[in-house]
Amino acid sequence: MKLSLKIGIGALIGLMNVAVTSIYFADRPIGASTSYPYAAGQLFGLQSSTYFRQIDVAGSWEFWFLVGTFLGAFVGALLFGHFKLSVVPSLWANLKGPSASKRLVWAFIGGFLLILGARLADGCTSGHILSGGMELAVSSLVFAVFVMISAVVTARYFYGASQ
Amino acid sequence: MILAFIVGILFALIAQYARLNSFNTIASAALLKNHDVVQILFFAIAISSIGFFVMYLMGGASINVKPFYVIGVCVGGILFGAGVAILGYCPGTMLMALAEGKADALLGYVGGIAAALLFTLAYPTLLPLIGPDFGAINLYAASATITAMIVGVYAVVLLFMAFKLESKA
Repeated sequence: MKLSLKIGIGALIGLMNVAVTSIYFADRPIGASTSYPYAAGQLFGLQSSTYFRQIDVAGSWEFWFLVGTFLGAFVGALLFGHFKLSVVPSLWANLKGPSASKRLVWAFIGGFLLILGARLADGCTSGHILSGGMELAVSSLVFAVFVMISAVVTARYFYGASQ
Repeated sequence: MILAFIVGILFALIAQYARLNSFNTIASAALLKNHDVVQILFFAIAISSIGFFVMYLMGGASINVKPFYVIGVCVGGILFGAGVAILGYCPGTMLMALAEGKADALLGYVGGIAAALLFTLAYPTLLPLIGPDFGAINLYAASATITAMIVGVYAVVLLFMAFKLESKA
């Protein structure tokens, strides 16, 4: 990707997050991972649990945010010609083989670790790294450093042998 | 709700255009083969940190940061990083990947819901273990001038790292 394009995309994402966070719009930064316990709570009838009551408002906002991303990504996929049904990503197939069941099992495990981590830390790429990074939050900067180190180490050992 | 939905559509269109919701993009970043997504994040944070500070000074935004639970943030970051490397999607881009036909993202979502269910049930037990809590702190100083300098240095460091990564691609 060209450097100028990366600067443009970064600027657009950053300025949109500033606008969303202003008191004239959402008065809160973007976030995604609180929608998971919100959806789980609604799905399994846990609305009266301590945790659900704590995340109810933020979870509902992030749930509708993700519904929007789903629609936007679908429209974008058609618009930019990215839509393609697949189970095994091409890079995964190169590194770990073409087995669909293997990829699906690891996708489940990866998703489990991802959201467990996001809930323990109270945020994810959007809520912590992008939004907390924007507001110079100590928690988000520490989170970002641990995420980067862990992702690189995991990738090295998980994909390393097959590279 | 409507606002969250519209904001979601806009962010997804950008992410879709730049393919930030693709396994290949994220996994190759974790493998240090391609720095595009990290550079975009650095540019976004650098620019938004200045934009946010200016808006905050003008009274247009309030600070809304997450508490620093030391164990929760560090252990959470480690688990999250491992999850990102294996799954190749983050919580926000997972549904965007599903929307472009990536069926593996659906299993990632199911795994995420399972973890969220477990966390909700275990929360009363876990809460005392994720501290100590240093509160919702950020790097802003009491004086606006000093904060402006901190934000300036912070943005320059991020921009420097983003440009530095360009020569390593």
